[in-house]
Amino acid sequence: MLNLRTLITCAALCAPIVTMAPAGALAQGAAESLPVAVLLPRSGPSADSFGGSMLAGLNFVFDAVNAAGGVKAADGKSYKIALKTFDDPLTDVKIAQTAAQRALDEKYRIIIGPVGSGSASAVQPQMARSDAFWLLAPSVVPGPTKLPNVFRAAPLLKVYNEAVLDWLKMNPDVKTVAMATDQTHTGLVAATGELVSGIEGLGRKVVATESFRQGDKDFRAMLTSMLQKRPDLYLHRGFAPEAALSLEQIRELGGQMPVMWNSAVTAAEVRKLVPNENLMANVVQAATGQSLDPFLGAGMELAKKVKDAVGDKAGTFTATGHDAAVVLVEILKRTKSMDKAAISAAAESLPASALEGKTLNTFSPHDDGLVFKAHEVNVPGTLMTWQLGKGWVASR
Amino acid sequence: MDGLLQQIANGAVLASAYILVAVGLYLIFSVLDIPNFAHGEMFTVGAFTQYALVVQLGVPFWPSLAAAAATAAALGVLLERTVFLRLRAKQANLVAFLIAGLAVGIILQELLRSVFGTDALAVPAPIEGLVTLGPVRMSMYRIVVIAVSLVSVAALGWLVYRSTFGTRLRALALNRDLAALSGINVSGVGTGAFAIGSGLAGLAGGLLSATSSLTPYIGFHPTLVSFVILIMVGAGARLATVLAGGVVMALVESLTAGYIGNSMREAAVFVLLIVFLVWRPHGLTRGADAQPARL
Repeated sequence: MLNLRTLITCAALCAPIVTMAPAGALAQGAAESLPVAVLLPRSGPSADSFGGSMLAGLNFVFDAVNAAGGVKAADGKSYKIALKTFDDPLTDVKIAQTAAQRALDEKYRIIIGPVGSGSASAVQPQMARSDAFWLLAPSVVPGPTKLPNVFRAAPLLKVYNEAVLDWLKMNPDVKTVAMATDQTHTGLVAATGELVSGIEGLGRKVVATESFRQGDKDFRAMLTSMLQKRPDLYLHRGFAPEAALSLEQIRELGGQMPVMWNSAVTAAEVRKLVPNENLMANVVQAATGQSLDPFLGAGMELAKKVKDAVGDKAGTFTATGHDAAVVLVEILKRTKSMDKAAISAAAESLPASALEGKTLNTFSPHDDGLVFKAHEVNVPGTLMTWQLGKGWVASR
Repeated sequence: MDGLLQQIANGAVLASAYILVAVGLYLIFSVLDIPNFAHGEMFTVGAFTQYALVVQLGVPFWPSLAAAAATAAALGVLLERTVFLRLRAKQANLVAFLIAGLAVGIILQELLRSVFGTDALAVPAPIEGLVTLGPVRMSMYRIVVIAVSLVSVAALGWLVYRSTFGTRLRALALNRDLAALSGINVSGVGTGAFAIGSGLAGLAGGLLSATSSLTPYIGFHPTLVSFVILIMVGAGARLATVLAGGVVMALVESLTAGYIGNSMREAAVFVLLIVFLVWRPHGLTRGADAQPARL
């Protein structure tokens, strides 16, 4: 017969088992928090257009993954991504270095970014010394991916060049090209020589190569000088505000030739910056799939889903952020532990088939069927033409 | 030759922008001895006021422009009364004025950023169409900008040299103490000068908003240009010299960009500045009672 003393003793012995059982059940399915840092502009001139738009793409993917219980890694554990932003306003590389150091000091071992090529170059020594795995996007400077722990989830700048050359091949009557390059864009400047060689390799002539700086407002003197050489194409390589101003000014000065932008200017930016849409006749954009525009233009369901979810936050780098997040998630699924060597090994062996249907851009397999070769992806550029009343429409 | 004429026309367009901002700063500096580093932000406030009224509220362009100038003028008065007047009362040195101007400039930039964001914005021009004069092409609106700039400067010239208020302004510029002793309300006249100078910068911002892209940080370049022109022309210069200084600077920029390379245009301006500092440190002209340039 049970007496009160025995009852209390049994209850005391059973209580831990009873209380721990659900905890044990939870522990089996509970996801650990996986801190991931992202370096992007949250202040300064690029905060909304670059930082906000990229964050929207990243958060779309990570929120969905977390809502589904997290990433199930090869170590058997589930991880929920805890994303933290570190501000790199792209105005001074020292600030980028400080932001990167803060992320490392806070023990972040998975870092997305930096966004800018200048920042990525500046942070390269820190990348080399760190215990972190770095995933660059969309910075295009080639150096950092030579490090064993740095991969790039976005195409290199040569893709812009390839898109320009593809357009020239489609337009054999364009014999002469005048180009202007933003000197503050490290990647574009680095790729200029290769582009000029490529154009001349097609038998065309580069009649003018000029430079300007981000923030310049008056291009009339430069454009007047270019127009004297009667180019068949004006190629503007830089960011949206300067692209819009130079278009307006070249048309004002009588330049009616096709204008090509090597910038990922979104349709929303065009409508804001070019109030007179008629100026957009004969404007082509050769870029990479950084924004949702080329994918929305192609009627892609995934792009519509992202756009519906992020709304007005969609912008210049939403597609880049989305695809970088998908690539990271797929890498983490194959990671046997969360140290940089294991994550890097998982990235090295990531098959392109793992990304099919999940990314906006097409990550074509390299010869071995893998996503990365020498830590770079194989993503083609986009060619779009502005159609009045419609916006950007794919040219190929 | 065609190219040269077009480049000169380009210089004229650029000069109209520089002159409006520079004469405002010239007025403030001449009358009050204040190197106002927040002057470019008056330009920015004017531009964003124009954007808010025209694009966001649908107000017609020209009344918006008047409002943009008035807003910048009012802000200038607030700045003068709350910051610079107090510094003067405490007999603060030049560095204090410089730092105060810079600080106010940064505050205004961040305020604009918090309201309008950091994405570049644009204002549609009220007039479309092109004008062709021989080999020279210019948009109709840019001709209007040049005309408004010239009329504004002419109006300012009339005010400064032909009106009673202008007499008081010039008295204050020549000798503040004597002006006070002779019964001039130096505080009121000083505030008036600040209002007019800031209003001109705001007018420039509103006008040029339709030929440019707007971000909260566009005020730095006009500030820099205005100070360079001021140093070139020197203290004690007449208004016409400021006009000439703006034209010279704009032409140097345009011709350098057109014939040497666009990347050299800013360098050319600073080479010009160094030449003046070495050759004519007191400026191109020097009035009888002018103080040496202290910038």
